[in-house]
Amino acid sequence: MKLRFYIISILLLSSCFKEEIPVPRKDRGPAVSTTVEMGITYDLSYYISLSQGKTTAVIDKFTWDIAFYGDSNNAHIKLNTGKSMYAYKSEKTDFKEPIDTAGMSIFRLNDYPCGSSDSMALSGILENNKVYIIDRGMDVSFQKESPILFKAYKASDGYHIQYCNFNLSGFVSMTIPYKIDKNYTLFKFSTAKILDEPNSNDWEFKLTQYQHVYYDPFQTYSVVGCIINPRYVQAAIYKGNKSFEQIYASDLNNVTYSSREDIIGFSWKYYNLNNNLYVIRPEKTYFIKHKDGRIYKLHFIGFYNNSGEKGSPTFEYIEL
Amino acid sequence: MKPLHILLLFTLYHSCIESRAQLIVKSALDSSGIENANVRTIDGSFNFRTDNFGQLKKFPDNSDVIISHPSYDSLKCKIVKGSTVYLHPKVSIREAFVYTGNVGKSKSVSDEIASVKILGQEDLKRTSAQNLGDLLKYETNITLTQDQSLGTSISINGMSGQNVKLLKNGAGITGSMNGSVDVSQLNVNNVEQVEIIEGPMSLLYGSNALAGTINIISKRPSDKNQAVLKSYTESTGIYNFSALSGFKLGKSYTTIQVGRNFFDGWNPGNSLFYSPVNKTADSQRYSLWKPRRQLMAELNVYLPIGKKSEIKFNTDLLLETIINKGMPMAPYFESAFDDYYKTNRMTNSVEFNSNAGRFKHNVLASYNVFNRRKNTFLNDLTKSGELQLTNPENQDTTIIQSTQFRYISTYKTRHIKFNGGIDYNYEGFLGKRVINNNKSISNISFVGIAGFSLFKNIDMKVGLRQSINSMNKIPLVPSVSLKFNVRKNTIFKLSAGKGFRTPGIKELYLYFVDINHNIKGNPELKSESSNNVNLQLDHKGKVNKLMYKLKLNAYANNFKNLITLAAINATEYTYVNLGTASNFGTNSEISVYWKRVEMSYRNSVLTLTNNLSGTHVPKYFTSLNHSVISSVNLGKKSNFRINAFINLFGKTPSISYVNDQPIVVKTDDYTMIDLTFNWNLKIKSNVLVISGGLRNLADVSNIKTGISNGIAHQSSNGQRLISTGRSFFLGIEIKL
Repeated sequence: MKLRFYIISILLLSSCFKEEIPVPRKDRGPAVSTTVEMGITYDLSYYISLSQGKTTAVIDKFTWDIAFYGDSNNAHIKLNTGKSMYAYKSEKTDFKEPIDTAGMSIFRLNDYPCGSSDSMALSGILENNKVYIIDRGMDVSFQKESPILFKAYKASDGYHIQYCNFNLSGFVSMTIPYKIDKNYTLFKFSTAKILDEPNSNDWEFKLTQYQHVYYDPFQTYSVVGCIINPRYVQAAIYKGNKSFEQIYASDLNNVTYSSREDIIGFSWKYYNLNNNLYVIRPEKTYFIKHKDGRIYKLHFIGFYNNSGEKGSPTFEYIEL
Repeated sequence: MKPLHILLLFTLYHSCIESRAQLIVKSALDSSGIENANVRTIDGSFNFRTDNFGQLKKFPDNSDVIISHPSYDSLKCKIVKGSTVYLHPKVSIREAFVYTGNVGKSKSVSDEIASVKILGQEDLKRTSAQNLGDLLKYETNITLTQDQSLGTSISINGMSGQNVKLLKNGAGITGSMNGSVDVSQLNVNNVEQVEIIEGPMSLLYGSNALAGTINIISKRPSDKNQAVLKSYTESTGIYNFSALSGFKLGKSYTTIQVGRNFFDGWNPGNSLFYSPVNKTADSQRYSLWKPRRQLMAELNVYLPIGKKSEIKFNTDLLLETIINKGMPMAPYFESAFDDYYKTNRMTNSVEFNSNAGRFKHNVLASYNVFNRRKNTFLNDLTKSGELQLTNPENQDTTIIQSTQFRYISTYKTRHIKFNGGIDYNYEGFLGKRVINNNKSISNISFVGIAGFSLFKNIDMKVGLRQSINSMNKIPLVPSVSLKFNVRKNTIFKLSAGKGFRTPGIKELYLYFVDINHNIKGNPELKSESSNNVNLQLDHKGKVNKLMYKLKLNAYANNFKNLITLAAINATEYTYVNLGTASNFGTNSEISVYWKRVEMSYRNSVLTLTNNLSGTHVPKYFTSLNHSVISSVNLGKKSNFRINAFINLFGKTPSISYVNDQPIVVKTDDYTMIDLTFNWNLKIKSNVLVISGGLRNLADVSNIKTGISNGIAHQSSNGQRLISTGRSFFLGIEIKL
């Protein structure tokens, strides 16, 4: 009898995976929620207009290589760092002069994400008449695209550009006109095609992939973040302790706005190496001030879509 | 603690009955019953083994018998009903037998030329180990590393898991993830002993045996019918159960074992008397130690063929599920990613041994399948449903199949013993991030070993292994060992040999390219190789009633062509043969046996050599581990034994890089203390074994590693998981 009791007791000492008790869904209040699906490899850039309450353009990052600023008064050229593009400056002025590429990687030039015209890899190209080597980064299959030789001049009607392959084949010479109503005109070397951004007054920020620069140690790293349109908006990071729901117009006192393009950037999320997931930082709330005086509070609430795919930032905003 | 546990303990206490036996065989050292003593009549008409208590229920009265046991001096005597006989331990205290590397027949540790450590039945009982990791954690020269999805990996003498060869009954265990086999998947419920051979065994076992070899030996099926039920509960949320049945079927002896291990997950801060309940889907759902369920089945068949041959068959199946319930995601905490890791591991081996006069033959064939699937689900915590990801990046299946065939023949003359054979291994890999998602490697090796006596008291063994690998060149592996019987109880062993590790399939064929990664395998990689020298002195002695055993071991290793991930330009990485490394160290152990008390002190010193030139980093890094293990048998009849395990792991230095500059970082030192007891009882004709105790008395769950965070990613780096917290456990075993 005792033995049976022990045997039964042994069988009772067990457990199993438990069902969970669901949590109640939280009330979102008046916040407007938007999700953009950039894709798991972050191919698409979304141009967002809060004032119009819509996405005004979607541009595939593989459809352009360099961008020409629309206003001739601040003419400069930007690389598509979403493709991991870089540049190298040679001391040659003619494509036909041989270029020694040995050890060149230490002189790599990169765009800084702040958006300042003097912080670009190609700063000075319009004045110095030098040949630059453009590392076109990755193609859609993440294979390295072959580098090209590139020169550009500033002219009254636009940017005069010349480029060719390293072996001087595929030489192209053309003009990219200024477009004052656009921030940038986009251009792809392989097709020599021009692509327009939406008009500057049609978007306040874009969600895109770009390269962030770390300084200690120096390192570039591809990130997905928010780049503001400095021609129409400024932004600020909320420094207080209140949650998004608790922030009101009264909290705007002492806020310092910035026109730096990456002021919002990517730090609203981080990658957690312990579980290999992007995690939203709930304490990050941003203010976006439009040229017309309207101010929005905005925060990010997700980076995954309903199917669990990364590359789908979701944000909420409320006009204050 | 559940009331049921208390009731059970209380009832068990009052149920201790020792039934009458016709013969009891006890140790003259501590009066404890000797299990598995062989008692046979001189005319050979009766031949039985004693039970857990050293008892025999049925035996012819007034008969002349020979009682023998490997650890005791044999005794020839006449027994009558109710006799108690005492066997005197050989000076070689608890002499164990080594199977690893011996053809068809085990050899005693002192006869074995290699330096072997045996963890036998006593160690399994005293530690109440549930898996190989539990058993090895008390070894001072073995370090366990916990990863909550990859499991428990081991390193020996500072060399990581990919350099440790794991065998089950001599056949290689497949299924390493990130270079290491998860030793918590290797259960020890039906294990006779675990053999640890330090130093390279590539001569016999080929690749990956640089640091050492661990061979798990299953219990041979008994010649009598048996049924065993086992249960183990730990207050951290572990609930294990297994059942074993042994029977004779025709001429064969068979055991079948099934089991289920369950771990409910654990977090720091859980109470000592934690009891699993349904939880709300909030932050409580996350466990630092992930919930795990293992279902196991094992079949062992032993078939004697005549008097000189035998066939052993073993098949072992494990189905494991680990659930990593993610933290609810900010800011609304209404969804979470949950990872499910499902591992199926099947190991099959058949071994044939034949002893035909001067020739012995050993044939081993094995087929292993390892299948590990990771699925990630996005879980809506406001509902009870789950949604599988459509993104294939988050799903991963790895399938590894391996086949092994080994034939070794031994020819023995009066002066020389020659082993020669062939060893064929095939491994196929199916999984993503490998070119074409499918690659395989095969390898055939020829082995020759000659053993001879130089003088009366010096034995020597020389060997050579030549391998042909389908993918890369493998160095010729020579080995020489020497055993010098200095005195009757003093043995000196010296061995020198070469080991190697062939590159893994991922190191050869990895293809991981996206916007932030460009890592490719390198099919041109050479094998890693090592040279090893090992010295050991064993001495046993007796001072009045106190017996002692001393082991002093020293080793040195030098590694070449270490495989390292390196940048070949600003954006591209691949594996290269770049590194060299060397280490040396000592392992010493002194054990004393006095009446019913056993105590051993172990000490391991490991020194790693830094090969970085032109830096301010010291040339040598030394770490020091100690352990004290003691055991006292308190009861004469009930075999009540109390055991204490105290392990002191010293600070472990290593090199980390800050701003590309090497610096020395040290992991914290820590102490692990376990107190256990084992109580053997009789209930009618059945045996009841109760084990229990306290684990991790010092409550160490993690330690600081001193390694800083990365810049682009954030994690809780700087901490290394050691163990779940302080807990108590209770194990019950009923032998019917």
